[in-house]
Amino acid sequence: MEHTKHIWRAAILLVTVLVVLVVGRHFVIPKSFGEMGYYRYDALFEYMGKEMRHGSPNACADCHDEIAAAKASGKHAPVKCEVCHDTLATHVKDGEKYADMRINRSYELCAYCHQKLVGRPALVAQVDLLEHLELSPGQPIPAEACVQCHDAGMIHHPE
Amino acid sequence: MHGQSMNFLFPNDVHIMWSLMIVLYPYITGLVAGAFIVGSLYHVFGRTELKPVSRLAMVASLSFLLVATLPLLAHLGHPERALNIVITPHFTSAMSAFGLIYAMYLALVVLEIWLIFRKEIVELAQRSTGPARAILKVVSLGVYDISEKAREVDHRVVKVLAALGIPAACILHGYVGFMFGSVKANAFWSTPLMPIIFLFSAVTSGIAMIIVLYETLTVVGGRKISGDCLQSLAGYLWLFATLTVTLEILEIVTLSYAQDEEWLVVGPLIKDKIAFSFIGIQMVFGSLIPFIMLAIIVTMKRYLTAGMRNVMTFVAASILLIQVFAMRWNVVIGGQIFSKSGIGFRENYVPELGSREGVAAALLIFIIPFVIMSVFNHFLPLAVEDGDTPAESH
Repeated sequence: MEHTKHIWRAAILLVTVLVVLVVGRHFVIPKSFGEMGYYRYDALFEYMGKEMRHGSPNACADCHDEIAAAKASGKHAPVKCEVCHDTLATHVKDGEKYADMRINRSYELCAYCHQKLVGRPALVAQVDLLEHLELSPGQPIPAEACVQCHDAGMIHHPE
Repeated sequence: MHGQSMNFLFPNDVHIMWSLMIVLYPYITGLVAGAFIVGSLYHVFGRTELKPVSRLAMVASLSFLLVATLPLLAHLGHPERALNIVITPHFTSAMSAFGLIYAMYLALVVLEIWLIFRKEIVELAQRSTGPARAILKVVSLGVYDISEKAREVDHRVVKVLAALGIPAACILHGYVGFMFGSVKANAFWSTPLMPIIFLFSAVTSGIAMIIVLYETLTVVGGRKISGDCLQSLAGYLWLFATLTVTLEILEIVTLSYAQDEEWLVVGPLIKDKIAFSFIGIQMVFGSLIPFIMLAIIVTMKRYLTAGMRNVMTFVAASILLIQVFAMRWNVVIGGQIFSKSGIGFRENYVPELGSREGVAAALLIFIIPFVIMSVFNHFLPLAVEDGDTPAESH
């Protein structure tokens, strides 16, 4: 086995790398990985520890029952309040109002459901924004384009 | 097709998620496997006429291998999570098997290249001074034995490694085809033929890339192109391109002849949505033209001058590189243009120019292997001069 020194060294190097990888792997696997399944179990507790931002589906109706009733009979009934308004936690703390509720009036929000899309069920009204606003491609869409005509009353109330 | 239901897509089926980067990924991986096969034709099967490209093929394979995962990284983002798939692989995931196959293949190619270039590394180490000498000593693992007998040992080990590398290269690329072929919801992808088509087109692209690189390097370096080598490569390219295109056509013909329900959407897809890139680029421009050119080179070689043959081989190889890219594009993008409900099409995909998954980023990734190769070539020449007796000689 003369003249094979370099081969042996390469083989030893290869085995060393392999051992380092196999052993080293155990040090870099997150601590709770695999405890309850093929995921990091601690991730659940990290999420559980996060501050609650959203309210329950009917939380808004506790104070705004008239608006809630009107909305319930309108076309937007399935859309939760916090989709267009901010999360409950920015407005209420310990059951008391502490700040004004912010409202998202951007056209992007409306387009999220109403921009024409082939994959969208026909029961959701679909609009080609550029065509509807008589704009040519590349022209900017005004930030609050939709609510200039479709006001909050129309959004909350039936028809 | 179905009256009113035409153009209905599932709500989650609207966007083309697998972008240009997912086209580039199998393309680069294919070049890795293909270039390796060219190297093996010499190292394992003793095709001595391929000696001039034997080093180039191995280093090209390594260079493409080193960037093979970058398109995936650019597509997925979150580089900080990239290694999770290697640390905690799950064997129900085809993608996680990639980590193992990739690592094994990388070790094999690095080892093989080290043995092939060991003589040059040792000579370079002996000539160098200072830190370069220390680094090269480490690279040579401290053994400066480049005697005739030591080179004979190198040669035998290279042969074994190259032989092991053939199944490794086939698995590496066959698995890429498997990733598409195993998506049973997609009528265009779901066929056991997919890994085989990917494998053959990988070899085609690898040979074509080596031809383009060899001719370019030789002409730029002011050396003479080896006629035997190029003639042999042209022959192999013709064989593998023919096999590849035959398989590609067979897949479509089977779907069309059987008139299964998937043909209702795959038919219009090919005839209308991807007609330009499939029929135009992949089949006519990319397959028919090089097929004729290579047929002339292989069967009428005594009527051709060396210059004509070199140019024709270069052009045919370049077109085949485009053909294989078009094939990847048609499979990846074409397979996403129709709804998995089978009754509607979405908008065609046009890659952006500047985004993370855009044309510029793809070009940048594709250029890196060539930079690696030229840096490598600077220190350890890829060209094999006549009279050299490298480890791999027979």
